[in-house]
Amino acid sequence: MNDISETLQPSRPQVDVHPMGDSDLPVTARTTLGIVLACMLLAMAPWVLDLAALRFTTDFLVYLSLAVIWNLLGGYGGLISVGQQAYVGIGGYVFFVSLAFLGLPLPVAILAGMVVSAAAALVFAPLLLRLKGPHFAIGTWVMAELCMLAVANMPYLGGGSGMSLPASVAREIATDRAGREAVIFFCALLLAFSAIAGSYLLLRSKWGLALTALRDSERAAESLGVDTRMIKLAVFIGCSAMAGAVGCVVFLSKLRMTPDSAFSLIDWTAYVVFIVIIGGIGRIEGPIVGTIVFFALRGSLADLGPLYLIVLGLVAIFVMLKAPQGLWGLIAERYKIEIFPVQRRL
Amino acid sequence: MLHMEIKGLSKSFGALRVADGIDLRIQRGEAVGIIGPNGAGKTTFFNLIAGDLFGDAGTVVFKGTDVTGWDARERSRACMARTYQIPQPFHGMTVYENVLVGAVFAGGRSQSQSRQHCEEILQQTHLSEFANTPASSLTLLNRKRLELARALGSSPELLLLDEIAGGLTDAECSDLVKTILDINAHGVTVIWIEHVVHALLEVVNRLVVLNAGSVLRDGEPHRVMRSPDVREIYLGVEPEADGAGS
Repeated sequence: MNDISETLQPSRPQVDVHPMGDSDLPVTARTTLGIVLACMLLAMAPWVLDLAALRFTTDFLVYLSLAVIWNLLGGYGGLISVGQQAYVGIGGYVFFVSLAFLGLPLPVAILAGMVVSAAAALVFAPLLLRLKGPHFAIGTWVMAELCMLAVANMPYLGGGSGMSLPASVAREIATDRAGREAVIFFCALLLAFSAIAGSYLLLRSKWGLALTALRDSERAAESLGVDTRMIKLAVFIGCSAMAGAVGCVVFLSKLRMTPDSAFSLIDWTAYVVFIVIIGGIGRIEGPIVGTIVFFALRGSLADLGPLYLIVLGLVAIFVMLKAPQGLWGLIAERYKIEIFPVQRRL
Repeated sequence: MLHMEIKGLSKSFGALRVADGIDLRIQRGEAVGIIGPNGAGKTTFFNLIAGDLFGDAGTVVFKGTDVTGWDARERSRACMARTYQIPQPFHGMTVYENVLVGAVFAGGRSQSQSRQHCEEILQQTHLSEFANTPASSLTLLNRKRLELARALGSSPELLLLDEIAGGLTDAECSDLVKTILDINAHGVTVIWIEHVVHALLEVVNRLVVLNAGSVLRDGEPHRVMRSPDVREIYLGVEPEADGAGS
């Protein structure tokens, strides 16, 4: 099949070269092995890296998770959201309340953050999901701003000055700082792993087929039997729950939060969109490459101050013009490689 | 055997009545052509049958079940499939994946069960060699074929074709005609809106002329084409080789 198609249309760009299995798309052994190895390697970090490097790695994994989630939502589902900070913020606040006021154990507090973020998404969905394209984007943004204003006006949550996690609560998680950083690191690793493995499995399942189809033509997908409303809703809620979990991990590491930091458009959406765009939207590898580039840029340009944001913007514009498929798109086309094959082939 | 019965189907957009009490009985296995001047309400009529639009009045009974209130998804699962006048491929997916969507969701198969089924359809629609190419890189002819292939993916009993021959060359057109004849020969009921009348006449055994949202003529294709009012309204208004618009 490959031979025929290549001889017949040599000029057509064909990105992936791996034939897929013929059963219900089994996860390819190589990719699974790669993920497991990468996770094992990363899992050694707390024993190998110093505190600063560990924090950096945690930060990396947090952004990786957010980017993978955003890519699933925007890149595969066509739901371009600029309001992910709503769920990061809600997750973070619920997490703080669960730990500091309700005295819940850490895993339960994270779960609570996820559940409430998902519930918020479920409440917003009937309004947001009927909007399309740019209207959806603006709708999500407005919703996130509303969340921030609401939280800032709740004295119970510290109003505009925010909340801190009491030292006693922090000590309960781990006795010393290194221990706490390790716990946070493992949470972030678990998040990044779930986000990547989850999107990979989802995209290879029939629901991934439906999601990509409705992105390209909602009407045609509907007329081919796809329940577009259900699938959009499920993905939107799932991604919101994941963003909520990210919020828990982020603010467990920061130990204090204000409405501005919790619902920050720049931190939790703008950077994330930058990562996905330069890495390659609509490919699982894209966010990984994007996060590496973002952290490399951030590390090398940190001294530039506000100029740093201008450079980021210029890089984004350049990549969008010269490589709309993102950096991973370029690499995949040039070297014919694909780490996470989600395309079904005959 | 009666396959579909449409009674008094009406739809208005504001003051414009695009479907005005259409009555039509379609037998199983029939190949029905629908023609009419631009703006006659042909595509709206399709949208009403396929559930993309809901009528203001009237009923659609499909296989003995009243499907009037069913949406496009529910009707697709009842084995009704359509193509779009302006092809709407899932451009980010391969040709094979495009066909797979209908096979899995409307056809109710698993991805692995659909594999051979899709392979056969791609062969039937001459798309086999493009199975793994992105739909966005297809030519117009192949996009039209993909519309057809995707509809066939769901194993329809009733196939609605909306100007699938428009914009094609004569050779491409006769190729498509063969495929559609083949589909119809396998027992699939075909309703086909087309401006390329000579292609249509090679396939259909019944011709319906729509004008201003209602049925003007309905019967044996050549007799319908010869009737003076059809010649005046349809051929008089527009040359028959024109493939654009609806």
